[in-house]
Amino acid sequence: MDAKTQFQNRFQRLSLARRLLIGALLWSVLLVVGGVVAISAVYRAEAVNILDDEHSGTIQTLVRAIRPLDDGTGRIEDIEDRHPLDSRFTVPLSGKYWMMVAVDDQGNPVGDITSRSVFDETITLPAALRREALANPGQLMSANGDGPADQPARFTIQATTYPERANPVLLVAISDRTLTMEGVDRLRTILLIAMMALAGGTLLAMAFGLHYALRPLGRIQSDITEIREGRQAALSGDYPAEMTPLSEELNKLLEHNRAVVSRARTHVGNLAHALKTPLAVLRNEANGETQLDQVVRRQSQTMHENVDHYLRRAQAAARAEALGVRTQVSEAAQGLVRVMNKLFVADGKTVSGEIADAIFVRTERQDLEEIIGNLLDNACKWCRSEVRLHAAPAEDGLVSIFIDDDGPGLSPDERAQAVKRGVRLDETAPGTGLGLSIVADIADMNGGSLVLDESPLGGLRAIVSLRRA
Amino acid sequence: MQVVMKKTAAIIAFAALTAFALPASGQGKWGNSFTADEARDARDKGDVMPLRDIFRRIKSRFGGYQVDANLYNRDRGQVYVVDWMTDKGERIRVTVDAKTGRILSTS
Repeated sequence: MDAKTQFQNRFQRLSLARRLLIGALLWSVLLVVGGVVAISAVYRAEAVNILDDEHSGTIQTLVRAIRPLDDGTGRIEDIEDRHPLDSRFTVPLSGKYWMMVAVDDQGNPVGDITSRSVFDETITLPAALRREALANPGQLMSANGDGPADQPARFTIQATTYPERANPVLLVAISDRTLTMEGVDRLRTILLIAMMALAGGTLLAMAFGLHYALRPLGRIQSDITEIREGRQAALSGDYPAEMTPLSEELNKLLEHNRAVVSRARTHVGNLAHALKTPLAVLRNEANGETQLDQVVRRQSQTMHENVDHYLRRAQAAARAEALGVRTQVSEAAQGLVRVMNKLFVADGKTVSGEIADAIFVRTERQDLEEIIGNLLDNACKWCRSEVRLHAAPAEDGLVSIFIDDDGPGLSPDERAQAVKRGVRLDETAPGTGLGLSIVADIADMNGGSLVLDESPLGGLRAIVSLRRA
Repeated sequence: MQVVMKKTAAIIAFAALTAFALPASGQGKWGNSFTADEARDARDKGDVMPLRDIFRRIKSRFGGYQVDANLYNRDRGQVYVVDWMTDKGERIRVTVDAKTGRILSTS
């Protein structure tokens, strides 16, 4: 049962081309073997028929060449003038023989006259054939047997009776089958070669045809990869008629996908505007010093932060779902580095970025800016004098962006805590504590990750990995 | 017992096994050639090699096929005289020592 399931599974995964080829191969083998067997059988039967016809003629001649003696002894003589005419009957061991065999009451041979071609050989009639012929007097009975000089031979026997004689006389014609058998072998070889060449050629043509016919599938696959990696917007190639519906449907699906994302973004934007104003109003109105005011201020601030967080998340999620996104890291980073340098120049802090132009990620520009912005902001707050930004291709089709600072850094426990959502590690530096967690969220939604580590500058190193495009 | 008829090659007996196969046309062009029956007797007694073995030897040497063959008594024993058509289409006559199978002469 297990083996059967395993086989079924394997069969289901078998490639279409292989299925077709295996089917064709089995069928070809069946045809070749069956064809060769059938055709050589027919040929052999035909060749044997020809031999039997010849034997029939020989035996008719023998009937004329036999003369029973009318002296009561039952003896028989042959008339040399009337022997079958073929000279092969006189050449020793020529392969053509005839015999007249007298039998006793039990049907056992008691004496014979043979053609000269038998010469010094002794021929034993196949016993089964002899009995069969005796059981059907007058009928020509044929079978294969051992001829003289170890030749494989065809025997034809007719049992005849004469008024001068009590027991029948068997008239026998014998032919060497070697030539016939060689003919069959030769035919079989030729047939086998011809049919194998035919089957092999057909299979080869089929394999080639399949390979050619299935090529558009490979093309459509690479086109879809292009779309996923953002280098192409839709399936635009010319495909065979059978695949056009598929490519059209795929294009419609892509279009639908884009529409969904765009709708979601609009909704999210609308929701953000709809919630932000009432919250701002609440915060402004609760400006007194009563306990209620304080509670409302605190809670509306928290709500504002949470709404902000989830809106950004939702926006990022909507964007991350979109296909065909491609953003240049260096371009997105440049502006941020400039802004950070301006903001923190007064504190004597510098930000430097070194990113190759060739590095692209499969992340919306907005999300990338959010990630880098947040991490740079954190780094600038905590560094003593220097923040460095660089990026490098990583394994599994990812790009890693490194942000290093020379600040106090974090202990391993603190690093683990930091990426948990909403945890504030410091109570003094301004910020919501959501900075790192939103970065982790966005990276996660874009198929990447955020890792914190020790920096070679002495402070914290943030590594964001994103899918390469 | 003996039946002599002009155009008779051989006679087979029904009752008497001993009395069949009488030599009738033993007189060939070259004198004392054996009939097929005599040749069989000689072979059965071990006096001569089977003709098939003689043919095999000649065939392995010349290829081709037999045209005719006769067994004769010669001064120093029996010989097979075989007319043979070789691979190259030459009709040759091969004389073979019937006891040893050695080819005595080829012409």
